[in-house]
Amino acid sequence: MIEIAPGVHAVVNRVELDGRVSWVPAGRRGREPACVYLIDCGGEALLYDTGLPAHREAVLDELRRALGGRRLGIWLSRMVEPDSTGNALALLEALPVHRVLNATHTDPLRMLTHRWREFGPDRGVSVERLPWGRRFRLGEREFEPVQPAARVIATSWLYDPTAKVLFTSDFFGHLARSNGDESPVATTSEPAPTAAEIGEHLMAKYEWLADADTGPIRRRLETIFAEHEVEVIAPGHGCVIRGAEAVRQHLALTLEALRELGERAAL
Amino acid sequence: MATRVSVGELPRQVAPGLFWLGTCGEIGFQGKIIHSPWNAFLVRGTERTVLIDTGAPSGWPVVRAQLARALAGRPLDYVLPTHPELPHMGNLPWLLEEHPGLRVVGDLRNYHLYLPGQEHRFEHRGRGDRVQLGGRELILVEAAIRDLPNTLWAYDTGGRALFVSDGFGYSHAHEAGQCGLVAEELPEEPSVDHTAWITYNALSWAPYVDPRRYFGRLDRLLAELPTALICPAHGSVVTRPEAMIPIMKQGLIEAHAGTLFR
Repeated sequence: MIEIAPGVHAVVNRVELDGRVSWVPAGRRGREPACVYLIDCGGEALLYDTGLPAHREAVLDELRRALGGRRLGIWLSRMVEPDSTGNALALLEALPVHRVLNATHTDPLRMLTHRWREFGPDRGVSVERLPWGRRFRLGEREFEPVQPAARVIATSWLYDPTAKVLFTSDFFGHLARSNGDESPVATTSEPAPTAAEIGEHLMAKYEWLADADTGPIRRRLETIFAEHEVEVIAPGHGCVIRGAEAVRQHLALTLEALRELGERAAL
Repeated sequence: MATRVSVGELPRQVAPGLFWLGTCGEIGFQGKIIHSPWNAFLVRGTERTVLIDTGAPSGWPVVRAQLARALAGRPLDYVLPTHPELPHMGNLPWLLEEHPGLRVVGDLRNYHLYLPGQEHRFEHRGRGDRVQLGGRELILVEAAIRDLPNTLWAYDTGGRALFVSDGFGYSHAHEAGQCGLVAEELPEEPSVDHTAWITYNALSWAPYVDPRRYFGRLDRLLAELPTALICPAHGSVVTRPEAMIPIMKQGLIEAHAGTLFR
């Protein structure tokens, strides 16, 4: 577990890129950080996403150590994909989870199990859908659900204005590592990928961008970053991007990648 | 108009050896409650059986009972999750537990991360591959309309049925007892605005991509595979594809235009 911003920790696991992972280009090799984020809210904590089932025990062990008896809230970014929700029920069983939050589903636990009552209301767990753009407070910290710039399925980003962190689920995950010893945090001290490489990465999951008018997506992305001061981008897959300058750099490259994809689609 | 079928009456045999299973979720639409089906389909060959999609986790006890009835004592040999989203693959853990001989087939990228320890039961298959069932086969084909790239559609040669996953989705106004009706039995014909609404919500590319770009691959597929039934994961079974296809295409176009929702 590493601190990526004041009070924000990444629980980092790794995914072997060996051709069996669909959200990266087929030929990409290396080890990709797969992160969930624990945010200190004072007497409680919030977890952004729950991690892959393959990492279940590691995630649980890290959280048990870090929580130290505090209560936990869980934010689910993509209700129907197991890389977002895959450990939600295990966390509800093993940890003092007292609320489950998301921005897209009124009853998210029903998406996960027919035993939703046992995991939610019967345990006194509060289950809430929080609207995009409306800030909410959890303990000593404020958050804002952010409507993503692009999505494949119902997805919600989350902004932490205290630490200036934007949690971006399956977007901005274009940086992997060649081995597991390298830092999962990227700054301007390392060479940035090209816009073409970012475009190739986006296409692995967002393949429809090859046919899309990307103008509205770019404008939405620009608006998000104009309205929110972001110093850290925290994706679920791929490296954390840290530092205002690195954020600007990767945003500009991503906008350029989207522009190039849109131009190709228009041909 | 045919007799109404309640959800309790699923599984429904929609062609010899082809059974429709599933449950519905209720969602608000234009001030009323409509149903959003989460379907699965069982195909029984003379030697093997295959389940296409798993149904949603919220409906597992129902789907489990429906599956047992449809299997009628046969083992479940294969399951094809069309793509890795919970309404399509979320019951895999329970299916694998209950059916010890069950093998998972399809584009199984990521599944080793979702179902660790079950890799020995995976059979990676792609477009054009065939699953022999005895007397009929399941052909895996390109998903002409999809959200995730690792999506496969399938075609049952016995029932001349095309399993289209997130394609061809629509919902109908909720009335008790309508859930098991095929499209042509519904009191109200599926409309363009229903298909458009589901498409707009389920396929996030709809506002940005002109769907006519994908009509070619859909038309090629339908030309290659004589299709008597269209079996969507999120809509009623279609028994007159020639009537429904233009509605579906128009729904995609309307979803792209977005005029119904903005």
